[in-house]
Amino acid sequence: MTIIDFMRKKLTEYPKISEFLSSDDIHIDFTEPDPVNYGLSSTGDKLVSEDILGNQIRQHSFAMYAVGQSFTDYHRLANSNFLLELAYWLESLPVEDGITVSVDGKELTGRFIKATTANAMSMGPMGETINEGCMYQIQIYAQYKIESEEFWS
Amino acid sequence: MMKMNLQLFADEVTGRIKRKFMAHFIDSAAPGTSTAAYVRLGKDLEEFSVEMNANVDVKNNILGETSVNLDSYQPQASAEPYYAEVGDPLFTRLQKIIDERQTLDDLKTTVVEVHLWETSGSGSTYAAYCEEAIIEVASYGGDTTGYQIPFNIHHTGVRTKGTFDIKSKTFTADAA
Repeated sequence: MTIIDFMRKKLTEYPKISEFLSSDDIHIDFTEPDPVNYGLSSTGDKLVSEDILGNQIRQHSFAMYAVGQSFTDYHRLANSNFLLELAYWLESLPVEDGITVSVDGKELTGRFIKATTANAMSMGPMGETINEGCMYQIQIYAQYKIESEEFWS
Repeated sequence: MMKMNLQLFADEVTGRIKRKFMAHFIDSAAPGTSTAAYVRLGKDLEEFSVEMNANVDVKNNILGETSVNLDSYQPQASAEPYYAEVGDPLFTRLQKIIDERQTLDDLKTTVVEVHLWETSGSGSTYAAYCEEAIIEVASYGGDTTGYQIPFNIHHTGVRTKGTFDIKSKTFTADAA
């Protein structure tokens, strides 16, 4: 399972999202325009640090887009609170094994370390009026550790 | 995470040597224990260097010649950060030093430097040097990233050439 698969699975399992998904998974790189829908976009991977054994800590960036109802301030406040609670939930995710990275035909094992979030905000209405829903985004940064391809102990 | 992919490591090392091929092991067993319990240093360590601290005497004579005399070393290495992990024998050793404020012979250990680019004999045995050392716990505690125990290793100079089996983690001195 790559870090993208892992985060998609985690977000799909978030209780307040699963209410709306009807057993579907979160979309990848696509968000349906009708409320309520979610899409997760990967925006890049980078090396954070590497130890002398060759183990790497990497960070994968995501942007999750959500289309929510926005008729009134009540709806929009609920959307913002949803993003806030999602941020708290993501930041409390525990360390977990199960990530794999495939490099040049070799499969390396990895471990999810933590997730942080930023810039949870409204991106504006979906159509010409507020009645067609608002798109929200939240940026998610997932850190994970990859074991060196050679041995370590 | 404990994994050993020796089949991946069978490739010959050529050209510039990656840092992970110079392995540093430290004996985590208490002094007086008959069997060493070597633990590899490096997890979470982005840098680990043994400072040679050479004693160099430089003299200039009236003929304009410079003589340089290097007569000894005081090697020392610093392991920072070291994150304590339950189940890690090195953590057990370091915590005992802290709890009992150990000094003198209680701090004795051995360190082994294994040249993983230089096989010796069977596939899991490599050239290595074993040296007696003293562990100095520099501090304990640290920030919110985890319980840290940075420590220094002072090499005492009693150095033995031999081989190290990475599978059994045993050092064997060369025959005299």
